[in-house]
Amino acid sequence: MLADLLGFYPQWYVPNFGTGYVVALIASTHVLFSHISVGASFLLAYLMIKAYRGNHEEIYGYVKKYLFTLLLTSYIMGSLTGPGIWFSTTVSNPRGISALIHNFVWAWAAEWVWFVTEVALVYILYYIFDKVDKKTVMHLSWVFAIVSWGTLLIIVGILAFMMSPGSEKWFVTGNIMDAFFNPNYFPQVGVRTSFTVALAALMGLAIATRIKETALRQDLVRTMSMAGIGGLIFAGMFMVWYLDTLPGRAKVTLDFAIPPAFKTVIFVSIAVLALIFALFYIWPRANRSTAFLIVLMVAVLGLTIFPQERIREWLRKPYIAGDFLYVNQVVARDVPGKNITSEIDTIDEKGFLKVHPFVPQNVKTITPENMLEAGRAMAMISCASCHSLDEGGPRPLVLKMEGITRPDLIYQFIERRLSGDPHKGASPYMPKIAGSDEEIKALAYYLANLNYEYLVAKQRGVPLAEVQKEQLEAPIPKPELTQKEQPQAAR
Amino acid sequence: MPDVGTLLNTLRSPSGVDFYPVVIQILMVLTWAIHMFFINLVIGSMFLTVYGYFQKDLRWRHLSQKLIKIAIISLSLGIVFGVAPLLFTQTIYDNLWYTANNLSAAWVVTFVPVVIVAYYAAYFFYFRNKDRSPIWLAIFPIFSLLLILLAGSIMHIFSYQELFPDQWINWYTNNGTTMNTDGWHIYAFSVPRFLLFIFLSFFVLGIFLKGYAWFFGKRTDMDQNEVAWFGTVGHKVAVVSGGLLVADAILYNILQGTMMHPVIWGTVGFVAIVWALLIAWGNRTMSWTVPTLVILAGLSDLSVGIMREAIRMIELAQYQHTIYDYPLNMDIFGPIFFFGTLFVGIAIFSFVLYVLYKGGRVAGVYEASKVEPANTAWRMAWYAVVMWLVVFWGTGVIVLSQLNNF
Repeated sequence: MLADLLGFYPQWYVPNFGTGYVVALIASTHVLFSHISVGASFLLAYLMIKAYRGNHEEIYGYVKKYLFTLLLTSYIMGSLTGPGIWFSTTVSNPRGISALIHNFVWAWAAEWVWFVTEVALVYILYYIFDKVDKKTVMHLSWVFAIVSWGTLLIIVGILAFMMSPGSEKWFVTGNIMDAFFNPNYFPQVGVRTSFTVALAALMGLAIATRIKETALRQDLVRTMSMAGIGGLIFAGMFMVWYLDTLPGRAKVTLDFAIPPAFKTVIFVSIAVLALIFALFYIWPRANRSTAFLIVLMVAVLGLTIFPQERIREWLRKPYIAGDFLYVNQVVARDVPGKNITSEIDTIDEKGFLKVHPFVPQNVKTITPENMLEAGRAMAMISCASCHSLDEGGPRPLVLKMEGITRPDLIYQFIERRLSGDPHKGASPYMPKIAGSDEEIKALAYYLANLNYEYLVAKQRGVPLAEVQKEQLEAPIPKPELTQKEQPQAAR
Repeated sequence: MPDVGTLLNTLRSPSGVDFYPVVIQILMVLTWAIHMFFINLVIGSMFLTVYGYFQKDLRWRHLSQKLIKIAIISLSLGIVFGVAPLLFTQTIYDNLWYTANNLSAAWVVTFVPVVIVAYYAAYFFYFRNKDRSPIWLAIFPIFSLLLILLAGSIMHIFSYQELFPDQWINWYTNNGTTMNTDGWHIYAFSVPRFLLFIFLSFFVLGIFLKGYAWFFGKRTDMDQNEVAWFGTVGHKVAVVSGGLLVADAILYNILQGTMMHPVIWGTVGFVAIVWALLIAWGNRTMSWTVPTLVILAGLSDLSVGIMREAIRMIELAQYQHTIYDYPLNMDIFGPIFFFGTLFVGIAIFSFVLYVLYKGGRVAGVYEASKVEPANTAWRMAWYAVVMWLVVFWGTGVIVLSQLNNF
């Protein structure tokens, strides 16, 4: 029996910006600082062992300063933006984050153990640095490095699952281990770990610029440069493996939909970085400017991590998690291992507006009078997760279908492009549209009107919102509703 | 309008939970109490650091310097411990949490930047708070405190809106007419409930300061008169705030309509007993009274955590809703993974806390690596970490090697 109600939450919408960008802002900041902190923890452990074995007081001094810098940057921004990702996804895609939480609550709880240990240790290391003997500090620095890496080891399992469970196994068993250790896991751990080594090498080079003892400085520069080159080579090798484990649809998207500029920027940045490491290895004295290294690190992070994370998000589509939940939060397929059933049939049969608890009563049943409002509600719950309903923000609908003001054409476009069937021309990265025929007609009507308002706005050279305030008389002929869906009074 | 009980069940995750909800609930309350302990230290410290900064007595300025340090470290720990209850509440109370959040979505994303700015403002004050630093510097901790209170209010809104599932749809749709998609609406706020956490903060911080005076009472490199005075200030703060806390807890429960429930009696009663002991032991000099009170302050947080959970359960019972019937897809690998990792974490903390405790009570450098119990604890911690890696990778290899069967 089909359900009368499905578990959708109130929808949040940020005009001209989009909720997805809110997540992207917080998540990118987190990715940046968390990668730095993992690399930094290994560098710290390496420097402590070097200082302890060679009894280099000079290194101890820099390590303490370096710890405090970490504490003030990575461990404030990193530890706050981590839960910040939960907060932002909670309000931009509650069912997406809920699906991950309910599959990985214990993995996340395990990661939390490492997280607590890591943050406690960074404070403890700093505050007891001169209070306990250096051998103990060195021991703690190694625990710190491993637990810091441990957070990466765990979160990658969840990220890998987000991309795809990788096989039918998890769908059948529903087992957390099958979700976690999917084919995408190890290569992704390899890429990220290798990259953090390269980042650590950059930070090590920055510290080396401050060291006065010439032999020690040159030794450090050479070791760091070699670690940097090694990190980049391994990252490249793991990347090849990683790409091989992507699901078929993601490969199609990667080859045909991702703008080549994204890939070029990443490749060129890595190549330039490798050249700089090689230069410092051959000529250690060239490593003099801390400012240059900091700028380089920010540039490398900006030019590699941001496009990489953006591409990863792109490749995941049309799903938000695990190849079963669409980006617009509709459950798209059965997962017998978890007793999950697809919601597509229910929504098609009963109507999206009807089964959504937080859609207002006055548009649940579509009439010629409320068609525009109902269409907007449909756009809000079906499209707004990825597409702006305004002229600004992410992938605005008015730019996607600019100029089309005929509801019947838009209806045809939706029916084919969002059919979920590649033979009808469905896009590999767009979800199948779910909803009754009347709802899709209302959606098409709303989009046609929106386009019309946009054209008027462009013609007058004013913002779309200004035209919308005027409540233009709809010039677009309304599509016919089927007899079945019309309310009693209208028959 | 759907029936509230049906709505609550529908909003649960279709994935179900993979272990007994009661275990997740216990973990949620326990970790919330630890989180709240540190947040109480933050709020209490921030208030007193500002107050102390304006006083002419140099001891107050010194206390202000200590307190801002306590505040920034506690804020870090409060944040990391807050992740766990946030995780567990999303698991068993997903229907409440996600709805309450999305009703006021814009405030949800405001939370993190607010805390980041509060953090840096507090840090700035920590660096500059010296014996002769200017009065205007107080603008930073005041700003930081206001932001922390704002962050607390935001969290309060979500927890409180959770308690009104019968109102959610009407709130969001303006009684069925529109969709409030902007996320700036605030639908419910309870001043007595919010104040309860503020009074609790003074109470916990006051007792913590007594504990501070006790812990550093034997340090020859510290001014012992001043250390003892910190304890006296803490005592006064805890005595006054403890009374207000108990009175406010009773007021809030009366307003909420939950006062007659035995769990509420028990939890409020426990806090009242701790307060009474604090007063009764005020002039005692026995060495065990202060550490006992510090433990009881921590348990007061746990008690308030249980009270908070009981209120939620009482409210949900009106709609015949309980977490105990959350659909269960049993999967023991998850809990094994967590408890295994927790065991390793405990091994690490045993070593670290031993070194901190022993090192903190003596002047000068503590040679932990030459002390046998510390060495044993270190070896256990290190083996546990290495074993974790071995088991973790090994499991991964085994799981992936069986993939071809599918």
